[in-house]
Amino acid sequence: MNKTKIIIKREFNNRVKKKAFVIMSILGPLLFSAMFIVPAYIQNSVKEVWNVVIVDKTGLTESPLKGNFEFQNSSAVKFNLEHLKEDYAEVKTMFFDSARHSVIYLNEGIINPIKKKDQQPKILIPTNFKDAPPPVVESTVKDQMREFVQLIRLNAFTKAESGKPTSELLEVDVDVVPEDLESLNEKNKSKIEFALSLIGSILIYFFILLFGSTVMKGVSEEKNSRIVEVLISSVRPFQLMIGKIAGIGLSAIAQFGIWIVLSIGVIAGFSSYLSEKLLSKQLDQVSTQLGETGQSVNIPSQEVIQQASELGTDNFLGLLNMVDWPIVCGAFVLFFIGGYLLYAALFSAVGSTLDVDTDAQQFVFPLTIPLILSVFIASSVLENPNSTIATWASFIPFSSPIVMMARIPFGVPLWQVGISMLILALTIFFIIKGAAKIYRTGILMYGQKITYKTLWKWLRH
Amino acid sequence: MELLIAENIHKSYYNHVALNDVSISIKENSIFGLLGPNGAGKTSFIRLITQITAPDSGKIFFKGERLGQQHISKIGYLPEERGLYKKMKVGEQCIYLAQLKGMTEKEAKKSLKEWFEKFEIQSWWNKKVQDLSKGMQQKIQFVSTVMHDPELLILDEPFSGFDPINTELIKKEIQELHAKGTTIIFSTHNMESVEEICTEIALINKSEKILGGNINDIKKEHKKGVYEISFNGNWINFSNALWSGFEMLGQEERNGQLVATVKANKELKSGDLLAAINPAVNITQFRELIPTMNDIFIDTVVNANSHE
Repeated sequence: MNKTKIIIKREFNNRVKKKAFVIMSILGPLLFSAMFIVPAYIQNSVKEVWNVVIVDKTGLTESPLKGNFEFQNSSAVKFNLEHLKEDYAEVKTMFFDSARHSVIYLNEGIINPIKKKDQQPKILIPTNFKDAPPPVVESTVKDQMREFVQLIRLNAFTKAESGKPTSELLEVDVDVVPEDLESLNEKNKSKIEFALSLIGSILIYFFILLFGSTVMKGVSEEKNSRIVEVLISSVRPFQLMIGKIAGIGLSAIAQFGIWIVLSIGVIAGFSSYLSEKLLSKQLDQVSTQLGETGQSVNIPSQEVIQQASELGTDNFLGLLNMVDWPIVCGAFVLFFIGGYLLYAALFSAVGSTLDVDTDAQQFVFPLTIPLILSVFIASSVLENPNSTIATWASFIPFSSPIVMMARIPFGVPLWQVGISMLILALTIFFIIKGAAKIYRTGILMYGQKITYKTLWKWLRH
Repeated sequence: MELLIAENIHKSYYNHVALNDVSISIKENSIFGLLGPNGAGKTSFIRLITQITAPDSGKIFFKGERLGQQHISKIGYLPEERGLYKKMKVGEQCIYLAQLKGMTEKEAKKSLKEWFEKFEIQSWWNKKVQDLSKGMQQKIQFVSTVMHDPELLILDEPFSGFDPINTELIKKEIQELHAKGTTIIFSTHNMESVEEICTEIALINKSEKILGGNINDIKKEHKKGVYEISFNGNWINFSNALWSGFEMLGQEERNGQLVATVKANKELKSGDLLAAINPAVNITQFRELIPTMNDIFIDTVVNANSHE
């Protein structure tokens, strides 16, 4: 077997068997899923009552057609009827910036079977509002609205004509249509971009720092335990260095893989629990409504189930589709590997200068500075992804893995990403060459004061 | 036949010259002592053989071939500064090191088992190195140096840090390996062990080789014609019997016997001295004082330094 492979194998096994690795593998996904689950959970456990204003120009809510139907308030939703004669456009200006949570505008179209989309009862979500309604609110509103519309139509039909109502008549396509769908999506999209930008860049920073310093410690351990002399009498220093970087890098990828698999597992488990809970809630609601109103409304139970299961994921998935995943993921993988290689090479060179005897640590801090700066710049990207400093920093190889990763979710021209990667790749090549030169001298150097001047001499030697 | 020939080796680091025109040849199956004061260049020379570094100029041949990667598996190296992975298990670690020397995992396991049985340390296999005493660690390190059955074994100060029992054990192993045909390079300042073990030496001082060859030849060359004579009689008779050309260096009384130290001129032999004093006193013991390697080492180094 190739000697570099033997080294990689040892380095990999050595890391993976460590307690810290196992602990991190479990803690990481928990933290991650918490990041997804906690907001979702908070969203679904609605504490405040959601005010829904029903603006009724048609007077249908008062007409005998409705029978004894009343909008039912629940723990999550409180309905308010407003009888206004204004048109939709005016209603919009009246309620949009108000504190009311949602405004439903009823138009004449609801009495007739569906012809056009805009004849549907509109459920508007004012954009001054921070969040879309939680699924439980949405489902309550939809259900009651559907019930109401079906009743009106049915009663209007039996009054006017005889015979059996067609199934078309009872088909009510209630939909939550936010008034300003685009800007709401934009808002949510930017939330997702925000999250991706933050998660992506922090992850890269975290892995570079964590596994880079693991490389440094490993090199320094070999040097200071003096086993390095035995090792490099068997293999070339370069093989040893690359083997270590690759082995630890693979353990980082393994760790990351475990995180993803476990996180997906936890999130999937939680969301199926969540949708079950939602489903039972819905069925409860339907049955109480039926019991209270005494009206038989033919909502096929199959539909209810499907609806309920879709509720939680519908909105989220739709938003996820807005992200250009191949580019984000591809860039993440490449910048992850590139950033790690660059810094691991530097960390191994620094590790070779560490000396327990002289407590020489003077090069560790300077190496972490660009990393910390990158994180600062990356966080500024959240405010302005295309600021001059962010743009420059996403080309400079020492900051590009973190900063470019922060920018990409907001949309960066592909050529910029390409050039940034090219610069990174070239830099990695030269840095590894230079690091190897420092490394091979440094690992055999004890008890000497190493300055930048000495490093420069080693580089040129 | 020569196992290793180094010709006109120059090696300098960026701030000093480590080896200056050093030529050393090491016979196959010899035990070769590489001697010299601290910082003389011994370790630099060893690092060239182990290919940790490369010479700036000069050539090194291993069994007639230019020294290269293919020879790494044929060399075993025990550095002066010992070190193992502290948190790695003993067995795993030895197998890893042997694999880096080109053994397969299976071969390494087999060889390691044999060595562990030999040293009766099988129970250490799954212990971490940090849980072993320093002496135990040294043993493990020795095993990891020899387990791939090298043709050339390089031992840098092998006895430093060993207790007397382990020193004897390692000495025995060295002799055994020597008997099996292994060539051994021994770098040390411990002249006693050199005298005891080595057949050939090279003395390096300030980056240059200042002495080299067969240990007995060197000793002969450095003989100064000093004799020690124990006798019954009296000092006056003894000193009167000495011819010109003999010089009395010391006289003492040991256990009721008179003991004289006499230096003879270069032209004079032991027979001449015997012939001169035999009629005068009753000789009970007569021996030539052969310089120890320690004397030769110090003399040569001091001489070399004073010539500068």
